[in-house]
Amino acid sequence: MNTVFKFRDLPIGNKLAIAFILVTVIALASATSFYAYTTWQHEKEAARSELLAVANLIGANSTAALAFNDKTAAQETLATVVSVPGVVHAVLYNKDGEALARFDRTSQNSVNAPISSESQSDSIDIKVASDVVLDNTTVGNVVLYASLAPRLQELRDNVLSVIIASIASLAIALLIAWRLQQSITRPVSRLTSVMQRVSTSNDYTVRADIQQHDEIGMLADGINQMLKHVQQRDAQLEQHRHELESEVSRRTAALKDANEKLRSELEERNRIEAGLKEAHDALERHHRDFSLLSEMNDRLQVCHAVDEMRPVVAHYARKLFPNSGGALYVYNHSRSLVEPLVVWGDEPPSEDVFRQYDCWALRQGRVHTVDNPDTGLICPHCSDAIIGPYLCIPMIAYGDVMGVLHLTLAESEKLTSSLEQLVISASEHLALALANLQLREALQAQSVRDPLTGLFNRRYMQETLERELARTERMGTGLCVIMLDVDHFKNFNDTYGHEAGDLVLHEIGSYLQKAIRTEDIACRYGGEEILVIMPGIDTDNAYIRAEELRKGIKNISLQHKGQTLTGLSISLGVAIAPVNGNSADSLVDAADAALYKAKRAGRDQVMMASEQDLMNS
Amino acid sequence: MNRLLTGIVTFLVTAIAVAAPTEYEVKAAFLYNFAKFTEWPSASSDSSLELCLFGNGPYRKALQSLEGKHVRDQVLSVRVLDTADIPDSCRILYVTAEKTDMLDAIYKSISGHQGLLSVSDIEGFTQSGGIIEFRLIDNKLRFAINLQAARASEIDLSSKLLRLAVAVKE
Repeated sequence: MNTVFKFRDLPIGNKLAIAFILVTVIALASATSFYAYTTWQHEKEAARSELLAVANLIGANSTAALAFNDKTAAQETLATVVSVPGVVHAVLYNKDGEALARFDRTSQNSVNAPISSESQSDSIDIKVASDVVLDNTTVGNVVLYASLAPRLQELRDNVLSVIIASIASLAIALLIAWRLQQSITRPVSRLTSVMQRVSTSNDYTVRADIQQHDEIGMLADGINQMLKHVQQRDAQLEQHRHELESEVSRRTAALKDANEKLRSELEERNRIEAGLKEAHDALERHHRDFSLLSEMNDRLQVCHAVDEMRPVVAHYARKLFPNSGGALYVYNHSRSLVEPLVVWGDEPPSEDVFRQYDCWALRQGRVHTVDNPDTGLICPHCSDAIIGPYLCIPMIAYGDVMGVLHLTLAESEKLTSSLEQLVISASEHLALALANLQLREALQAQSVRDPLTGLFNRRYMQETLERELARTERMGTGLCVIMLDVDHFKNFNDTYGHEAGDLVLHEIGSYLQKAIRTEDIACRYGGEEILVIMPGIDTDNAYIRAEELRKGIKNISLQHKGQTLTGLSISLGVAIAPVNGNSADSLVDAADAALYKAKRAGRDQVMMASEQDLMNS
Repeated sequence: MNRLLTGIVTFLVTAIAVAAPTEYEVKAAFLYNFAKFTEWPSASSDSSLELCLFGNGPYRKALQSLEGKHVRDQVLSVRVLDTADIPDSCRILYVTAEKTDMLDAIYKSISGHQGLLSVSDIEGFTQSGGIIEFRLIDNKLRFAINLQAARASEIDLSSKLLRLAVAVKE
């Protein structure tokens, strides 16, 4: 393995020499071997045929001797083989197989010498036998034993001289080859040194100087040509590089410009698209909002009472103004305060009830908007903690201000004109609906209420009492009926006139409407008698409530025409269902009976109805 | 038992006969060999080759064994002569030593007889006009040839035969 690598690294000259020697030696050796082999084969064949010819000749010459069994003649004939080289011994047998004559080269002519192959110095390589025929009858046979030693010796001599001649010619050929090889390798090594110089110094101006026209000369020309090309290519490359650099910087600048332009175009386009989308969204929102408004309006149209507005308004307000809170404030009866009718959203304004002056919108009678709570003018009714933009819109219907619609947006929201428009539209719808419902309620009130006291009339009382009794029975809760009457009402009329009497009744009515619970019902029963129905109250509480009412009315101070009216008191009779009766009539009768008991007992007091009273009456 | 004895006797007799051929037998074999080394004129190319014996005694039996043997494409036939008058059909004539006294008559009959190979034991046979004469030298059977007589009789003898002869008269 090592030697193989070594051979590979040898200079070309040595490689050529070794190759030449190897080829020559192999050629000569194989030629010599082939010569020796073929010659030897030929010699063996020749020897055999020659011996056969000799045997035939001896046989022919010894027919008579054999026929007459003449030993002398046979011996003479056989002795002629002495002239044939290589024959070691020969025997002539008669037809009975007896040896008639013998020949032995080592002891010539001694017919009787014993034949023993072991005793022979020459090895016997060939045996040839030939029958002796006389007149178609075999009369004996000749056997020749021969050695190839002489021929072998001859062959050896020949081969030796061939080898000597080969060695001599090889030596001469080597000398010639050495000279020739130098003429081949010298230009090659010159080329190699040129290439080394080029590769170490990168100097492409070097040229190989070889004036030959063979392959090496062509190679040198090729290398020179290549070096020239490389030199030219280098120069061109350098130039190209410069051009390319300037081209690249030019293109980069152009690309940058194009990019800039593209980006601005893209931005413009995005802006337009965003605007379009916004417009589209706004349109959609607008459409949705107005269909919601229309829907809300439809619902409000079928409401019977202002109270019924609450859920409708809350529902649509949440839908119309998501992410915001607000309230619908309505003037109370006296128009001194505004009260919240509906509140929605997470952040209702802090003040439940406020005066007209607490709202800039109510004060000015027009829309008040605050885009930024930090810088805007905030209504006093608003909480200090308000953080989002808000707006207050006065609700005006038929020329009257009904109240104010307040809307607070989330902090992140913007107060847009479209939103403002929407809120104004909503406020107009609400104001109209509210006005209609208030009108309707007023009309209703006129049919069920007593205009002087503002309490329900007797017809309404009758319906209500029966309904409440049925419910009491169903629920198993108590019901209390209080009958009250103004003490010495006749004296008031007589002393101060009917107007004073009316005033007394009106004031008592107002007081009762404030003093009783919302579920309680107060009615003008007739004259100066008033009936209060209190559902869900037991006997003890009924008494307490009645006593409170007595005290409350006693404390009312009345001014009439500069005079202070004094001595206002009431008497009260209390009946409890089902203890004092389970029908409207029986309960009212029981309460009436208890009232009379109170009157009899000296007025200005409360009397509880009893079963005896019922029976008595 | 009898058969065994007979076998043994037969074997012994045969062994003795093989081991030592008689003089007559050797001479018969020589006669046969002479025929093989001899060429007769083309005219006498018959299918049979007649061997005539002039003499008596044990030769008859020995020569009878040659009857029917082939010499090239001819078959040997043996004929015993009673007189010295030799018929034309004879190709080989063998005269035993007993007939020495009748030699003149024999010569007379031979001379002018074309295509006859004459052989005899008689001493001086080749000197007087015979072609082959047996001679006993060192107790071995040899022969002499009169080539002149052979040519006169138009008999062609092989040179191989001539080489074996103890004497050749030209």
